[in-house]
Amino acid sequence: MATAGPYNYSYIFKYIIIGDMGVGKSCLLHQFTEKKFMSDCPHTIGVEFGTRIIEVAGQKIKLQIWDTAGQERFRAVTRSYYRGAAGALMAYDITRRSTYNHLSSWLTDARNLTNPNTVIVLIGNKCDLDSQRDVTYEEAKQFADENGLLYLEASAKTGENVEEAFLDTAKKIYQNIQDGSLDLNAAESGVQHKPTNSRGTTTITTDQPVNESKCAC
Amino acid sequence: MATSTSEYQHDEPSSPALAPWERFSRWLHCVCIVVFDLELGQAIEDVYPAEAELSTSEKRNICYLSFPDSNSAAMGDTQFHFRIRSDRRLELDSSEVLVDRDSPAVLKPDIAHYYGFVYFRQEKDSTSKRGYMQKSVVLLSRLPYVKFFSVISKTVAEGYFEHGMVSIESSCHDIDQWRLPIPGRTLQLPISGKVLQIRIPSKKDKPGAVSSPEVYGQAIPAVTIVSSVQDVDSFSCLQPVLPHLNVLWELVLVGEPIVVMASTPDICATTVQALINMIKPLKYASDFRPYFTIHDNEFKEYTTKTQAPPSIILGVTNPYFAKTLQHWPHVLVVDSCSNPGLSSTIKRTKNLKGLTTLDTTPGLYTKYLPTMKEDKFIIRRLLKQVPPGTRPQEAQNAMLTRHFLEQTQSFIIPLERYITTLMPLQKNISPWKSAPNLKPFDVEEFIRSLNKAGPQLTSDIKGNWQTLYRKFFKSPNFDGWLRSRQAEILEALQLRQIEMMGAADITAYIKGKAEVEIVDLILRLKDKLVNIKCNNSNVSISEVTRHRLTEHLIFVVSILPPDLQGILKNI
Amino acid sequence: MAVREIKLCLLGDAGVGKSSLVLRFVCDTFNACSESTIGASFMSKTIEVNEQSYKYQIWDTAGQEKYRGLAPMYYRGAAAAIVVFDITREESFHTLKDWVKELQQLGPPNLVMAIAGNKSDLDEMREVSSHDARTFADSVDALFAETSALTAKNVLELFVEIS
Repeated sequence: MATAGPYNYSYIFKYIIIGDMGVGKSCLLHQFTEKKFMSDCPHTIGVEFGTRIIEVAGQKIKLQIWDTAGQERFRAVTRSYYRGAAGALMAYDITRRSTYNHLSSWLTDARNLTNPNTVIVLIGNKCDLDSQRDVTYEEAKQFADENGLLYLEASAKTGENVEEAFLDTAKKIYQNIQDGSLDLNAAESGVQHKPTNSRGTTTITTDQPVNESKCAC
Repeated sequence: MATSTSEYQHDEPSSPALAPWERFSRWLHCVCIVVFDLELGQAIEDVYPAEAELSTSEKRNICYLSFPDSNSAAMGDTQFHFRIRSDRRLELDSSEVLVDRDSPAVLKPDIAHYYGFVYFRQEKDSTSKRGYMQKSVVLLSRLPYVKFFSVISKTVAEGYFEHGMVSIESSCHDIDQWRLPIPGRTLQLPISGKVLQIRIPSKKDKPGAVSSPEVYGQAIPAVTIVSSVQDVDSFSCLQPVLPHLNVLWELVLVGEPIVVMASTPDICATTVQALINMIKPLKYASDFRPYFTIHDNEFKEYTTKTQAPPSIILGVTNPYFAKTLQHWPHVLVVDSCSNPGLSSTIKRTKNLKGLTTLDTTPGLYTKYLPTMKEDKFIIRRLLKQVPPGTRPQEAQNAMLTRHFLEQTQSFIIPLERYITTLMPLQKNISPWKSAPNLKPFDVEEFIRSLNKAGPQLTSDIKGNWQTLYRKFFKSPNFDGWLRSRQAEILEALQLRQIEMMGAADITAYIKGKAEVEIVDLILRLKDKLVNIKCNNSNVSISEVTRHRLTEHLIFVVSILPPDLQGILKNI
Repeated sequence: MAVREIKLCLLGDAGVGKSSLVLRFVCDTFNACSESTIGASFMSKTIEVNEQSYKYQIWDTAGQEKYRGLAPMYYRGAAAAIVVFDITREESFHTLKDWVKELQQLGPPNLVMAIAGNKSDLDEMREVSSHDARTFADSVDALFAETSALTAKNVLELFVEIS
């Protein structure tokens, strides 16, 4: 049994990762939670979970990341995945244009099934394969700007920008809480604040060690 | 005829059918036959089982370490042991974790090293060009069972020298039938027509308890009892330096670099082992080489003069080392064990300049100023009996071992007492939070506690305990001790927390919780259950707790909306 | 109650059924296609005879020629030896005589010897008569029994008699 110290956290943020099959969603999650690349990854069936505790502005935040199946036939049951998500990571593969072309359909789902304050981030994965690039940075950037999305190109293989994608999303959510645009009391905000207890000390502790992942790959 | 019971060897209930060589590999890595070949020099002639993996550098080390390093015309047989780095680290499977957990620190399998137990034979051989046969049978193991394997290696080697490889094959087959070395077990181990009985010590044994195995019914003449897995003949080796035993204890305890020089590998290896054993039950955490040669892979690393000598113990026999290691701060020169008359003539030398050859008189060459005073009492008690040999060697050994065990215990007790004050309070453990961590070890706070509860309460030796502790805190031995204690305590706290989680009122806890928090709880519960399952050796988690956690999980999933229930059932 | 430990070894040609006899005695089972033994295999069993417990340390030696030289390790210090032959193979009876001679010359002085004619269930293929075997056993002062590891006939009796 790994030695798990106490990990105090003030918030739990729910994330979902969406996008076409094979764009590397599970690999992005695995890279983020385990700092490792999975070269041989089976298809996700239904949903996998990953968790990790991060720090934003001195606050410990536990990310509860739902890694969804990309196959079309699972789309029908994904409604429950979106419910209560504070962040949505929408991924495509820069070497396969079709995965980019489907983004508007994924975005429609995300908009319809989450609340208006859900932070949506566009991730162009596999940026290590620049020679096989099928979608330019500029084109995707423009799409992101038009739709009010954060945007990064990342590589689950090299780890480039993976950390940033998850952390920038958390910062944005945290910022929304701070400036009041995200109402914590609203149902399905996807953010759970752990209230201070009666003796005035902060937060709750849990026992998920950092880097723990439920990715079955 | 009333009753009949039979023992056959498949007795581990958790793993009824072990693969071929699986039992063997828990005891030994392999057996090597090493020869001195006129053309090739040292060479490995045979390895059994043939599929046992050895890297090129491991093989080279084994070759050089399997023979006496200096010219020796001595005929007959010599037994000694060495320790080398292994290129492949041992990965413990779940049943090995169990062995590891209950094993005293000093007897745990060594994941980064192999021990080599050598049986060397040199005899006239008219068929050889050289006129001699020089051959060694070497048993490689991860287990530091020095005494036990010296018995096994003798049996295996004698069989080999009489009957050849077919005997090695047969002995290894015997070993592959042995029960696993689970701590606390008394085992009867058949090998080459003999049955050896050995008790594997457990961490739960009382300190200083006699480790010799209990005998079933009356004495069994057909069984050879091996009284200890690790104890060596410390007294014979340390006899030339009896007046300096306390200084040696201090040097080993605080991890000072020590080189042991002896005329033969057996004395050298036994002496290094005797030094390590002096600080039992503490584990000597740095590297130590009972027998080290100039061909060793780490020779350059360990003998360089460009930096301070590393915190290790080396045993050497090659006179060349007298020069190479001249800059080492502590040199222990021991001589033939069969020379007991020397003990009273030894003076401690503070000047190392004269030490250029191994012909130097036995003694401890050091400038170290001991923190503690000599314990005249034990020395007098040991010496009193020596000349006429009125007390058997075993009794002398037992007295010596017991003395240092008690002394080390006196040193550890205050540390143990202090570490319990770093534990979180029971009321701060919550079923829903992870077990709180230990407070950090505060050296100054500990030193302050010594006045009230120091080793002076249980030990007669006088001196500055505070200084000794401060030196100890800088040594790898302290790090090793602290890390293993922290891990043990944390594990106990986690177990406690899991039990509390099982016993807690889950309905009250989840009242008013949001979906994302309930999912978080489900993930935590699953994680606990997976951990319990993977770690099936973790016997301390009761079936009741496991059952309650499963019930919690089923209940929590059931209160979620139906669409989520379907999803979460499958993760 | 005191336990008397008895070191016992089995000797004999390959394939005469030494391991099967031991298996029958220790576990009371039979395995029609058992693997050949490497070196020797060890088993132990405790039985009680007339309120006295006997613990047998049984060294079942390999019958193959290449292991033949190892035998002294197993009969050294033994209290009893069971030399086994196959009643359907006369050759195995000749090997048995060699074993008996070796034990008489090199074995421990007070060794109790027993001769087992195994595979007595295959009477129709018999090559060695009971009479010849018994006469030989008597001439070397050895116990004698015809056994069948398959049907368990006389197996337990043989071991008990040795104690």
